[in-house]
Amino acid sequence: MIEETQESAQAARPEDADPDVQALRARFGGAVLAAREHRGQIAVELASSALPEAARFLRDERGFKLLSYVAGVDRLELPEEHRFKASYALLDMARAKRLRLDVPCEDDLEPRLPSVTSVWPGAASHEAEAYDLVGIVFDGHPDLQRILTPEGMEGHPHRKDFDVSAEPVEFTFRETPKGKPEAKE
Amino acid sequence: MAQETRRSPLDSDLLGPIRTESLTLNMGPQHPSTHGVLRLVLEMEGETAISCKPVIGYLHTGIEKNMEVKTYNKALPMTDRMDYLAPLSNNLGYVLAVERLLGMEVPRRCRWLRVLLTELTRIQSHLVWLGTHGLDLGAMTVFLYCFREREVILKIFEKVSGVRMMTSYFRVGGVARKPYPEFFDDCRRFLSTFPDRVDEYEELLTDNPIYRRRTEGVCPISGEAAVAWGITGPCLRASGVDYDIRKREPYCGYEEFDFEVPLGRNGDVLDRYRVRIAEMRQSHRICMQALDGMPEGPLMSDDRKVVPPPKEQLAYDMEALIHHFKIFTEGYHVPAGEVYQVIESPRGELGYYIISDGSPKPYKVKVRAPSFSNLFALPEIVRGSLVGDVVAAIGSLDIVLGEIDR
Amino acid sequence: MGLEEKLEGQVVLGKAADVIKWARKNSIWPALFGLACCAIEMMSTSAAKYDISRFGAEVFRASPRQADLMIVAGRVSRKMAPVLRQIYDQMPEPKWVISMGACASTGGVFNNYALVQGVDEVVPVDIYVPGCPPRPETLIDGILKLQKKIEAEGLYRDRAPASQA
Repeated sequence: MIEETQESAQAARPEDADPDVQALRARFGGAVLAAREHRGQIAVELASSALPEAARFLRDERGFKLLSYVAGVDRLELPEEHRFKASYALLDMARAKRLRLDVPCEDDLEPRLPSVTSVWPGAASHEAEAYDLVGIVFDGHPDLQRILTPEGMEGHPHRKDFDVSAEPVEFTFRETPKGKPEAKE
Repeated sequence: MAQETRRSPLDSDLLGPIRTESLTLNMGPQHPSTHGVLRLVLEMEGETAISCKPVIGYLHTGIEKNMEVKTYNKALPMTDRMDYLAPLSNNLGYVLAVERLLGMEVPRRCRWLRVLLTELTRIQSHLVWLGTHGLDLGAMTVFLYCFREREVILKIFEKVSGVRMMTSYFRVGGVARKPYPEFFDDCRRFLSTFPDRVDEYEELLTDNPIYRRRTEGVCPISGEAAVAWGITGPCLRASGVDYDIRKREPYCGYEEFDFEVPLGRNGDVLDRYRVRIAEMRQSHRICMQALDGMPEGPLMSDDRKVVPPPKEQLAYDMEALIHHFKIFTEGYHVPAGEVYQVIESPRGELGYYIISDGSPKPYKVKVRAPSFSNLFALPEIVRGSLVGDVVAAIGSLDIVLGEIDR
Repeated sequence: MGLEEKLEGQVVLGKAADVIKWARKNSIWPALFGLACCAIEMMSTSAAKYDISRFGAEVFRASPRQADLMIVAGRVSRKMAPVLRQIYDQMPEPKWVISMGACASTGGVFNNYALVQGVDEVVPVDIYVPGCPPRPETLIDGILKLQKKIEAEGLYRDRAPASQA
């Protein structure tokens, strides 16, 4: 009885019933590490080894022709196994369906991922931004350079160990009005 | 750079083939026609641009990183300043993303008010685009006329929220305050004159032979190439691809409105112009429907943990005081998770990818700016066209460097 | 005095400095230096409702070599700061700088690694116009104050050469 309800609960999970997730699992098997659904949106965690083929598979056979963005995420303060991941958001315009891929980077010190510019040429600029801000190196990228921060800047600003570097705000020219007590420091 | 013995119209039998070189020309970052601090490195063969490389980052403000150290409410005014031509659109995207993470619904009246103001923002943004696009091509009258209409809209925004441009009017759970009593009359008065004004702009430009020569057939891009490069919004629709997020993935009550999505055929500069003019008319249509059918009822969500209570209650209700205090000092806790919320901004698909770790501050905010993808398709769009056409093409893409660089 | 009477009101006598300053302050031509949101309000100021050319700022010159005034309108990022300095150096004397908006004056809303916290770290500023973005009337007020400042100061500004500034 208990196994039945557990199985039916599992089959009812939207991320497992989704046809694209099932197609990915059928094609790439163990490279599909997990599938999650949150607030109606499905995200698939994919191993980086599957990446260019999975991208081509999703574009050509599942119809996800538009890549919305590639974002680098530093998960230092989250309870996750790998520190860096790249998040890809795909759109299938025919079905008006979106899918997110989360690809963790194996190496925490020098994160590298294969580039998907051969599948979606528009990814070039997004990957350059992810490299600039988070420091993920994309192998196979035509021209991986800093695009947002100044040339010669060291460090990747959107990493969690990079300080926002807010200047302390000094309250200068503060004159005490006549008759009022002096402010203490 | 130097290319030996290319066939050129200047070749003559007497002198033999003429050696030509290509010229690297730097356009910007300070330039009247680049619509912001964009630098284009053009490689030119005579007047023809062989390739163009956009260099950005001159307006990089670190907004996304700065939002990570502020609570969700305090991070809201920073979103206005990204796409500074359509600040309410940015607000809407952020607010919808946070409300999605919270699992919160807003009342119907709030949704309709948000739609009304967002469409006014779309009209206002397209007016700026039209004015500056005309200015690039030498039509200065259009600039003055467009800004005349825009002043009326900005006056309405100022009376509603207190600020002309960076309104921060949409808040998580509702809007900042209820609109002033004559708000709907002011909107109606503006919207009643607006279609005639659009006719005026069309009269100035659409059949103007100079404008047609400069825009018809200039810098086209096909639908498939546009999708491959990640172009969205009016530029994509001008290439014939029918995808408008308001129709296909409706948000904020757009499913209750009746409007058309204008499409182009060739994807050249003239089609992008036509699509935006038609979009202004459709936005007008949506605004009129919103005004006519504005529902009654509460304006804000009643979740007191997120929406601050009315100020008067703080004088006598202890619980309201505590809620107010907690919201404005500590902030509200947003359940952990990730969400990617898209809206159709005047430039295309504006998306907010927010990762929450359960604390009152967002863990990561990534803004998918439509102009970012649109701009990096520029090398593909201007391949082989003249320098003057490059100027027209940049104008037609309607880029805003604030959201590209963030 | 006697000369004016003899020429019967066709001639006005005055000091050369006054005439030169009067000409300068009534024809300040700004250079196009709109960076971000304040640039849009600057464009609104030059449009028909808040016409800035009533006050002499008729044309926004694209080339800094033909401009008198640099209105730094918008946030200045660390990548843009050298470009800003170069444009400022390319302007011929006499030149003035208005820092328009909160971001140009002090860094504004954005207190972080990417922005120069106030453009006066890079160029000398004459007038600071507050606001985020400042209303067109505020910018016009700033220009009028600049006109008063031009009238009050001397003809030649004792400025250190650019290499030492």
